[in-house]
Amino acid sequence: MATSFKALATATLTSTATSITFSSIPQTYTHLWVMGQVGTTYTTGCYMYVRPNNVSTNTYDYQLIYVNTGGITQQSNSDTDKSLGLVELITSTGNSAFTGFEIVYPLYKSGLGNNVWIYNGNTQRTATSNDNRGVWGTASNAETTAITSLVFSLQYGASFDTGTKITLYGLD
Amino acid sequence: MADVPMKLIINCETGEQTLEPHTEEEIAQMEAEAAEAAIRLAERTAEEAAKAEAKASALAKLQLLGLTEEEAIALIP
Repeated sequence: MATSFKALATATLTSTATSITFSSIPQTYTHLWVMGQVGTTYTTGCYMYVRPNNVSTNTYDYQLIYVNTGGITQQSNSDTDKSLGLVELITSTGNSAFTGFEIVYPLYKSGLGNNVWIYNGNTQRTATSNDNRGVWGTASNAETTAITSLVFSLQYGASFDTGTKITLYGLD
Repeated sequence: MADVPMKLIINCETGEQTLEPHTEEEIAQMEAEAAEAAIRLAERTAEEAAKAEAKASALAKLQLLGLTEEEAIALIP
C-alpha cells in the first residue's frame, strides 16, 4: 500500500484543446497514476495518444501492446510501429459522452526500468472486439528514461471537449 | 479561417496552466504523424483480417477431418 499519495495536477478543460501536457513532473515519487474522463468534439471514432516526454525517437513514442481475447497479438513497441500506439478511448460517441481511462507508470524515474499499464474504461473485452490495454518498456524493450512530462493528444483533427478532466497522481 | 489548434500545458511544479496555440511546426508534425498512423492502422487491419481468414480456414479443414469445433479451436491458438 502506498505510503504517500498526492494529486500533482489536474487538467480541466473549460474550452476545447487538441493536446494536454503535464510538464515538470516531480521526480520525487515512485510511481505515477493518471485517471481521466475524456470527451471529444469529434463525431466519429477517435483515438487518444499518450506520449511520455513528447519524444519520437525512443520506445516511449506511442507505444502499445495490442491485446485481444487471444492474448497479446501485436506488440507495437518498436520504432517502425510507433504510430500504432493508439488508445481507442472514444468510439463514435460524439461530444456527448466521456470515456474513463486509467494509466499507471510504475517506476517512472530514471534507471528504474519503467513499465506502463493502460486500462480503457470504456471498451469491454468481447469475443469479437479487441481490448485496449497496453504495457511498454517490457523486459525485451525496456525504457528507463525518466518521465518528466506526459502529452495527451487525439488523432489529427480532433479536439478534447470542454469538461475533459485528467488528473496526475504521484505515489510512493 | 479554421480554428487554431490549442494546447493546454500544466506545470506540475507550479500549478500554472496555460492555453496557447500550437506552433506551425507542431501542426505540421501532427499532420505527418496522422498520415503515418493511418497507413500503419490500415496495414494492421489488413494483417488481422488475413490472420482471421487463415484461422477460419484452418478450423474448417480440421472439422472436415472429424474434429468437433471445440477440439479444432483448442488446437489453434
